[in-house]
Amino acid sequence: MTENKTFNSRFIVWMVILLAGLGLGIWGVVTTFLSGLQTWGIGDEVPWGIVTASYVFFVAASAGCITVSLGHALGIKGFDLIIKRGVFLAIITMIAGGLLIVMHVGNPVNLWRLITAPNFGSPLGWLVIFYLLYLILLIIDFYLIHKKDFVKARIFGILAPLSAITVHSTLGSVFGFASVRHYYGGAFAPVYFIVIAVVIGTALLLFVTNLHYKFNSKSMSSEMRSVIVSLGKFLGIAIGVLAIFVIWKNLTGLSNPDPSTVKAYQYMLAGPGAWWYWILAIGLGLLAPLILIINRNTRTPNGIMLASGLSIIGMLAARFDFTIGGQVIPIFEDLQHIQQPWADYAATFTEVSIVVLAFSLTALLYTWGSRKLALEEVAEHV
Amino acid sequence: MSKIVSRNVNRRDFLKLGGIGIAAAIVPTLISQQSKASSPLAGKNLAMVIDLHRCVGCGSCSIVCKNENNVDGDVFWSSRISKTTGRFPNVRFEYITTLCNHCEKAPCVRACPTKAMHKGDGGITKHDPDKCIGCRYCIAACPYGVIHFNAGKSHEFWRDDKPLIEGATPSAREVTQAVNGKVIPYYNPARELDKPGTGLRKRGIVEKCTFCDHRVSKGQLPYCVEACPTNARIFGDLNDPNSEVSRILGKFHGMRLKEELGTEPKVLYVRTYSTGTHPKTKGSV
Ligand code: SF4
Ligand code: SF4
Repeated sequence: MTENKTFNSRFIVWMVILLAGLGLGIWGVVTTFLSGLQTWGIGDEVPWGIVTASYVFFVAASAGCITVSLGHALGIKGFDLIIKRGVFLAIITMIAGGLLIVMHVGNPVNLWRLITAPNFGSPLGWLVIFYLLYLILLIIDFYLIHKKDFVKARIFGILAPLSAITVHSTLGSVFGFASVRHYYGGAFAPVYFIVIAVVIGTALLLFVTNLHYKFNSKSMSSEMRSVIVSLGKFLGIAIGVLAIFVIWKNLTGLSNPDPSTVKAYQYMLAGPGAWWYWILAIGLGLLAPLILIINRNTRTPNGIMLASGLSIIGMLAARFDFTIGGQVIPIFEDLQHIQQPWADYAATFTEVSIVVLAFSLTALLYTWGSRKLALEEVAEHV
Repeated sequence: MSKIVSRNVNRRDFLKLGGIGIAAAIVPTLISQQSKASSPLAGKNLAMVIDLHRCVGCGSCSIVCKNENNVDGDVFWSSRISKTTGRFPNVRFEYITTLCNHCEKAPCVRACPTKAMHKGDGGITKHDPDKCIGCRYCIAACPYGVIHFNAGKSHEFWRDDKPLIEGATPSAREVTQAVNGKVIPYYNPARELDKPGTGLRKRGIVEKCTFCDHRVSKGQLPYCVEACPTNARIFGDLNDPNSEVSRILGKFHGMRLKEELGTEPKVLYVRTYSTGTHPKTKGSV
């Protein structure tokens, strides 16, 4: 992460941590390939676990980073300072997301079929196509910015965010389509996912940019400071909008005529999932960052860094809640071969190690990028 | 539809009309439609009627299904909803035997990104192990909880070295080795005859009830139907007005699970599980 490209002790510690994470993750991948998904906590009641939830997090992060960068294409002042880092973050989180989805499937040798013979009636079929298209657009966008071809980059600066919104709302529809699982929100899911993406992406961009300055003991220019603060305000607004969504999602869920839907909400709000939900998803993900951003004294780069960091942790936890919430209550009451009254799902060490791999890989790629690709470069407006 | 195509349009017409490129795309479709027409199940609308009044809740269907289809111990292609309801002394035991409903509008088929889950001849919801990526989206989409994911190798039990009683019984592995070691002791090879991989489903993919397509295509009944001691499971073609299923459904209302979802299940329940009667009185105020 250092600008001066020296291997100071801080950098060495950082690399040791990342390589340890990478090693652990590779162990997880090998274990999964050798022994299969029985090493995970998933099963017929909860077929999608923490790896799937983290996949949603990473795709949201990517889509959010790039949606925020739309500010640059629209010529908003200050965005030229952060756009290159934003596009790069979008690429590497998408790569980490790809890794997670390959790990998620039980039989990856057949994955090529998603491209050669997709089912266009399935949202998952569409998702893969949009996903690849998006990744290509992102890479072209980054290449043009890197080559300082800002005229062409402007076109891709609009196309990439549009395809990001398409990808992430399609991912929302993957959940929404499982219409018997009312917890996922049906038609509401794709819109909900876009708001989530904006929150996670903005938080990630803010956190990484701030961390970059801290790590390298550099001071921010006043222009950079003001971009950080205004993006911080934007994060506050996005979290506020998300909070409204969350309130209504819970209220409509609790009054759903379907008893199993009500049970799923009760599980999260007052049942076994409650501490996780209230402390991590709501407390860290929404309330704490909102307070830090609303309070004028903490609306500083440091305060915003803390707010975005907390929000990232909370949002990751919330993805887990969301994914599990739709599955924890049995799809059929009293069906004897499935667990009643709710399913036990606990992520195993192997599953967690794969999530660690995704984070380590993202951090490693970022470290490489920040040393080799001049991410702090200004992408001029044209 | 398939009949019209095969009568009026032949392959050469297509080549003339559309050029080689277009024909290359259409010919395989035509061929598959022709082969469909020759399939013994084509044009049928297969369904199962379950007469709950005849059912005694013995669970034979669930057990024999395992024999026929090589289904692992804790997996149930055929299962049951059972519950005790009411308030003492007015209590009632309910038992509804379940299986894949072979929904006409199957959410699993719609969800599957690779068409591994698909509608086959006779309206059977089939699964192709060679196309499945193991994403488990079908499990998330099926409203009936009937799809199983093979997280590990199936029939792990038969690879176990530990004897049930030390010094007295052989281990499961020894039993397996005694029957040539390649497959499980009660393996039914007939399951696999039509398509390799459907006999013992491999790791990382899903599996579910197939309406015993391997039997039905040879004119035999699904094995659960065959084995039911009370003839509570009745199988046939809804397109044939003289079939037993059509006749029963003419007499009784066919109840379908989660009917409101519009999945149009092909498993229909008639009458109720209770064998009780009640006196011919009008009650009182
Ligand atoms: S019951 Fe489930 S698995 Fe069977 S056809 Fe319907 S949706 Fe598919
Ligand atoms: S697990 Fe297999 S059958 Fe089920 S949706 Fe995925 S690819 Fe299709």
